Amino acid sequence: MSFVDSIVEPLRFPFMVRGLIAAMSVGGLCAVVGSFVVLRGMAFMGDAIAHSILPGLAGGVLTAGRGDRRALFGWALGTAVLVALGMGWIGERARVREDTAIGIVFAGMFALGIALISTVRGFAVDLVHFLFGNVLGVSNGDLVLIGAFGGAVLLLVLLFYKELVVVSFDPTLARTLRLPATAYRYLLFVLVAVTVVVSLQTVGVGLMLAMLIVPASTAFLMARRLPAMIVVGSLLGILSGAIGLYLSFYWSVASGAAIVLVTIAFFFAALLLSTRRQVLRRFTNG
Amino acid sequence: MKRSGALIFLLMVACSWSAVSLRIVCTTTIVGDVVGRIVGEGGELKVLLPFGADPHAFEPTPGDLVSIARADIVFLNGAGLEGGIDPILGSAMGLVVGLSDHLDLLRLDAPDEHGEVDPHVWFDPTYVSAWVDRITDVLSERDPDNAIAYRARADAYRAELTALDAWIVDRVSGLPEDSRKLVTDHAVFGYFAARYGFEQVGTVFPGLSSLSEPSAKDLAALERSIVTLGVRVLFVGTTVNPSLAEQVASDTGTRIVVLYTGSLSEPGGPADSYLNLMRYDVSAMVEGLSEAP
Amino acid sequence: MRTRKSWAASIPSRLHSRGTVHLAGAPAVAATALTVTIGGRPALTDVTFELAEGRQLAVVGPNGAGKTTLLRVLSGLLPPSSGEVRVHGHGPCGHICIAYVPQKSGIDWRFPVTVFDVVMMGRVQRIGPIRRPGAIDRRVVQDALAAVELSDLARRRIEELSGGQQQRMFLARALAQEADLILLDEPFVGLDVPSRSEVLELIAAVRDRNVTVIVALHDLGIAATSFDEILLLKRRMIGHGSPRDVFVEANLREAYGSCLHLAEGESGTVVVHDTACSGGGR
Repeated sequence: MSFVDSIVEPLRFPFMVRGLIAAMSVGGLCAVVGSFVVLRGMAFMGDAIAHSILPGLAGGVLTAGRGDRRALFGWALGTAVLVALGMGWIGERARVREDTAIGIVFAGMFALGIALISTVRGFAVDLVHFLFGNVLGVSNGDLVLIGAFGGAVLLLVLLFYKELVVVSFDPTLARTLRLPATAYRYLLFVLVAVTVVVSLQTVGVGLMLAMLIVPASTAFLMARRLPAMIVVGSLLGILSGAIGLYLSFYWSVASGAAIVLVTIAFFFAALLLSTRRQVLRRFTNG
Repeated sequence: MKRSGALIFLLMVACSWSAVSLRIVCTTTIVGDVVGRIVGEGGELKVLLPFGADPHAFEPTPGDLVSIARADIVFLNGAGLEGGIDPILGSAMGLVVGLSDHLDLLRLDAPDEHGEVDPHVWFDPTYVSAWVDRITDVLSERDPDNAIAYRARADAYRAELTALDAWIVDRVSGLPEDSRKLVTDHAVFGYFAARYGFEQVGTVFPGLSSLSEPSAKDLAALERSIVTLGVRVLFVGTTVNPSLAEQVASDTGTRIVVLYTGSLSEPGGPADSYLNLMRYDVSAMVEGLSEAP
Repeated sequence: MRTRKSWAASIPSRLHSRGTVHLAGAPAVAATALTVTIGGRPALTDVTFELAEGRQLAVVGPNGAGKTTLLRVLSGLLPPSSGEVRVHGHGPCGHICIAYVPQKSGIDWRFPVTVFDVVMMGRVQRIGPIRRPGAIDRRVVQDALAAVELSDLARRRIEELSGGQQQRMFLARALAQEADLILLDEPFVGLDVPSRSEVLELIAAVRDRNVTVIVALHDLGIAATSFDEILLLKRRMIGHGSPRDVFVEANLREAYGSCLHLAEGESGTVVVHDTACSGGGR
């Protein structure tokens, strides 16, 4: 089979086309938001939000039942936004570190979710997996969600880029410049929350976590400046999604795992190259 | 006359006095239903899994641990279905019975599996009949005072199972050979296919468990078989995330039919007992497969 | 160095419309009975002074004297517990023309930004939300970099800067911000003598722009030599005026105990620390 054929062959299956669009979109979107996550040291926020939406899912199930996935998505999204604001608020008020605030909300919400679901117990973990998607199972409706929410997130990052950077890099400067720093911080948290929920609802939790952190970290090793880091990260995310899916198609590897492994491979390649460059520099500078 | 009457009265009193309340714990709702039919009203029966929960994904809670520890007898489906339960079986103080464990089990014949067995034995009523034998033996041993009652109920239930088996044979007789192809979300119908002349031609989730993840290659192969074999229906269970199956169905133009596979329905629903579950599933299956193309 | 007038003329007036308008005739900084209590303890008590526009003030005192607290109040980051602070006639919080460089910047030096990027951050409020930096903003940043002699390091990542270069970068950022009041907290800590001189020269050069500068520092020698106005604190004001007037034995003893001595050097009064002595401090 020629090279072109091997690219085209999987595209004859609608689930591959949808999967590619989903994986590539999510890869790009997560890398943009993930750049801020990585630089601010909020890496476990993705996992925290994924678990913190459990009470929201419980509420959704108790009112709308298990079958209505769109309703559950709405509950998950709403809960995630509230959780993000909560994390931001605790970080402000309690003067604890960002990761502590995140951890507190995560633990509390997850326990609350388990408690709420204890009436239909045995369901709790099941329910969490029930909502988390699989990149091969995305529907056209899911693609619309990714497009709409992903687009909104990207637009907001673009519009308020320099403010988000100042607030992330130098909060003191933000305050002396009289920027509404708290508002921008909440905005960033909400953007992360929306990205997380949309991604895990469509491509699943394992893939979402990797896409949020790894391509951005890889780009950090490669880029000099933040705009370049964001662009390179997105490209890596998009590329990983595509390559991973093709691997899953030809080598029968589970799709989510394949994509994650590709992102990791890129990371180690960048790590090796950047170490080489540093060693080289030390030699040439004498 | 009066003496025999008094004797009978005494016997009845003796029987009610000796109605030892056995504490019995069952894992799945299906096991719970069958065991319940034998135990009758006397015992204290608890089922761990709620309706609609996936037995493959069962993770016991501390409450479950307590129930298992206090139980006189724990009945499992066995054969590896309740994967999550192994760690806590050690805390059981009473008897633990894997109902399918010593039966003639099907092996999964994929080359990379190391002889994994198919645990979905309940889709063949003759296996459930074997369950009944085992249950009765265990109960009679533990509670000999009520052995007669147990055996009586077992006999009655076995008769119903035989009737079910005959009914199924009759119901599927109308389906032509090449319609007897089953595409499901995961491989539940091995025993059913073996007994009633069907063939499991494809599954969305590879292997025997709903916890495995299909690769793109698996899904592509499934879709190709569906098209090649002219399959019109995709059967999905109530316990597994249906999104993958839904996409496969919409891409290949097949219909989705929901069956009860791992769990009974809620009481009052169409599959609230094992017998009803089988009747409902077989009817839905036959209806789905005999749709004119 | 261009004077402030020509500098300002080159910037369109719309950029000046943000932030509180300065009150004509008001001093750059005016504190009245300023008291700040932090966590129940008095950090500053009853501080009253005025600073005229364009002046350069050194705030000195032992550890815990309230130097940082004063700067934070002037920058608008910390509200006074009682008393009043005015910058150009109004409270500090409305102004966007105050630049504050804290002692420990709390910045992640591994952030992927260049010197140019950091200096441009000073202009974020001037540019406003949604808009991108324009040609004018880039020119302002380039001029600011030139003023602190960092032009050739503009594209350098900040993690590669020396301590002296870092301070110059923050100064450039303050200039790019078009700050009228620059507050520096211990800018000389960790700098070697040549770097220290560089920074002092740049602070002096800023005088031409009619920018008011307040520097908190603990090195009395530098304060006495390079600044012509001193504010001596030990949680309350001990002295305010020229070095000669402030650094008298009585004041020094009150602030530092008996470990400091005056000496006459070539360039004027020099204060000598007796490092073998204990006392002073809190």
